[in-house]
Amino acid sequence: MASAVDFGAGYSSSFRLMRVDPATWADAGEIGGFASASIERDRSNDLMESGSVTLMSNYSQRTEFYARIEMLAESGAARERHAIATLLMSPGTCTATAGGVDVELVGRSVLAPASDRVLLAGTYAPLGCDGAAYAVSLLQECIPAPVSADGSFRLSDHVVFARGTTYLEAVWMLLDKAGWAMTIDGQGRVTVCPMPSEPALVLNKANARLLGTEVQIDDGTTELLNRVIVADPEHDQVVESVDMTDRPTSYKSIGRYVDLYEESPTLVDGESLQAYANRRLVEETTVTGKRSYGRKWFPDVHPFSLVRGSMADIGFDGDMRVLSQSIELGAGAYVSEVAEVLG
Amino acid sequence: MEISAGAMAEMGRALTDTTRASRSSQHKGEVLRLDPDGTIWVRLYGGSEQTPVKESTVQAAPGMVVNVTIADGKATITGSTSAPSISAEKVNELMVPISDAIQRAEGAALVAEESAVNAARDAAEASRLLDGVEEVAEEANKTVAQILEDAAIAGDNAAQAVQDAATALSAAQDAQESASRANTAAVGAIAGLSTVEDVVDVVRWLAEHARPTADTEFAGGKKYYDMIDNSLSLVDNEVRHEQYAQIVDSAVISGKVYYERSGTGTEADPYVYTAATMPDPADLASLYELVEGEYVATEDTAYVFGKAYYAYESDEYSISVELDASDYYDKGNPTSQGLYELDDTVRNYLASHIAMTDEGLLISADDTGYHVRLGATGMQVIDPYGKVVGIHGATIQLGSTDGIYLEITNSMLAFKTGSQRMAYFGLNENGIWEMHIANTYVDDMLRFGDYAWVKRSNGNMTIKWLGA
Repeated sequence: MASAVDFGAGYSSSFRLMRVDPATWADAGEIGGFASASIERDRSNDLMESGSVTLMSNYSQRTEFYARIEMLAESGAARERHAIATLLMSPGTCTATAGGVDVELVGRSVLAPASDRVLLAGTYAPLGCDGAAYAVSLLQECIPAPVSADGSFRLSDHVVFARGTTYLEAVWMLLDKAGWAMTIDGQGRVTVCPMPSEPALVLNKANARLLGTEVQIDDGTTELLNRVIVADPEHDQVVESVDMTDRPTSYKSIGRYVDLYEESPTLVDGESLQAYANRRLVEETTVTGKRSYGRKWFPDVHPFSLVRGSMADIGFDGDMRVLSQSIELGAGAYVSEVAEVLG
Repeated sequence: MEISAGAMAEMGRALTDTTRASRSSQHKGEVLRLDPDGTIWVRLYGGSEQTPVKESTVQAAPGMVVNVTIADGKATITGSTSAPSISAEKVNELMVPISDAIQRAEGAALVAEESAVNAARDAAEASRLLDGVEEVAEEANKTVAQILEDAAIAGDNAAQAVQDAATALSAAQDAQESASRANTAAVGAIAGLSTVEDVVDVVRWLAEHARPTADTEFAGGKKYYDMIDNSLSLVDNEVRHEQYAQIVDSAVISGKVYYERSGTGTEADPYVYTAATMPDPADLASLYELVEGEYVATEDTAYVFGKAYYAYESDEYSISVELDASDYYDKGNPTSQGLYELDDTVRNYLASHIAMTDEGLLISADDTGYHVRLGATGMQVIDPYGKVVGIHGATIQLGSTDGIYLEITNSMLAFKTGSQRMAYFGLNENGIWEMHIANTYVDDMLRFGDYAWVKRSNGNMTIKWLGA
């Protein structure tokens, strides 16, 4: 979303907590006394996000409810409202101090109701159906938040769900099979989509002020491993991986074998034992670089988003995929982010 | 959407990095059907009505009860409770009688061999002595007494040789018989692995509905079960086919299921029997009823373990003494053997009180009472004369549509005749709540907003303002 507020240049901000009407998903009145909030987002967590809000008020609520954290940002003549996150709030814990009463509300992801319901064992997404649409329908059955699909993909086989599989687990099974992502925006709207290929945030010299003062560079630990031996005693088979690469740890480079031994592996989609060994070698020796950094808040950057850096002098260069975020709201909005280096 | 090579590589890596731990579970289920593309459809007990299975370790067939494993989004049949041949334990169990028979055969063969050797040795000795007798006689150098003594010894040896030869022959026959039994048991065991599939449903049902038999002798055509390891095992299993016969009843018997027949009976268009709903007595002659199964001549060339064979004598079928080749069961007193028989009470009750019809599931409580039908429009109550007198679905209907009946929808309560509303209260076609009725009797007051028609104490009527 194009924004008139320059989030890198400095702006004044105020926050408020709005109750959300689950039927219309629109704001349904303010819950006063907002003091601070923190949001945690992680793409490896099925629920993707959680958070907590501290209110300086005597707010009391007996049942869970949906609430949206909004930020009013002002910079010069520009004045904008941005939804930071929408969460399913549990009744809070109340702390009385000399300064008054603090209430802390604990928020779960809007996806939470889908992780609270289980499918009947043997339920399946049929071969040939639109997997994205099926995933959307599963979510729509459980959660009041708007859910949509950005595109479609066809299932090449039936996907059958085991006993105890939650609706949310089923959705992730479908998305993982297609290499798709899921995002939750500040309004709490859920979108299943292909892995984003366009950057949601570009960090370059021009807007370097968005970036914090410290970038932690982790180029990954190179596993000292160059051969995977896989045995299948049941069929009297033993194979070795074929190393097609020229890495610093390969046999060609160091002149000796460093082995990983596995027995009776689980083969995926009819792959051979040899293909399994080759795949495992790649998986075990793939170097994943990560960047951990702080930055000022910017709209529409979520786990799975692409962040593009062009500041090679500080090691912040190339495309990165956001893995996790921690957002602190109070005196401004600040994001601690971990991103995986691509390519 | 165009994806860069880097993004593609990342996608592949992401698939492995973020692969979530998927659940797996084990199930039992019943095979519903097999599709031409190889998909096997299974109804999981306590699970989905139908689940597609692509891989199976057993030859699945409709009705078979199978073990299903679901993992990584795929369902696989890993075995069959009706085909325990897959388990090594079951194979070992079946191998016991085979091994015993083979051991007996080997033992008998050894005895035969030893006896044959003895016989040959004795015969050689006898021959040698007889040769000596001849020599002595010819040379006349020995006394007659010596000759007679030698002859007696030779005769004894010859008799011993004959006896040893007879023993060898008997042992050889034992060996042959034992080998034959071993072969039969082996054939039976192998065949038994598949025949178990056919009876699994019966056994499963029996596990809940069997009782100790009180019969003092086996009744022909009746099934008996043995309790082995807390599960019931069929002792005899006659070969039956469903048979339908044309109705000879002169009146409709309440509770009896009558069938209508379609098709021409050809291979291309076989007969299909469908349960008739509320049969008309006038149509009885064209209806059918299910009759007992028939016996057919067996085509087995070797005894099948666990399978019963029947003898046909004096127009009756009686179970053969040779229940099976492995002598696991001898015909005798089934009660004293602790066998079980089918408790038909529940099955007979269900058969006479529940029927699947084209219009839905029909349930009757007794011969003369009301019926309930679960159909497409909801639950229908049917009186003893076959008339629908109530429907409970999206619309609730009380009474038969032949006369005045009450119909309740989510916005209307109406007394109707046919499709005509006689009186109603609810939302009319213009979206206004109204009550429509021919006559109204009010005891005290009829109110219109702030005003009311009120009956006065002197019996007159007045309009009174009640206030806002």
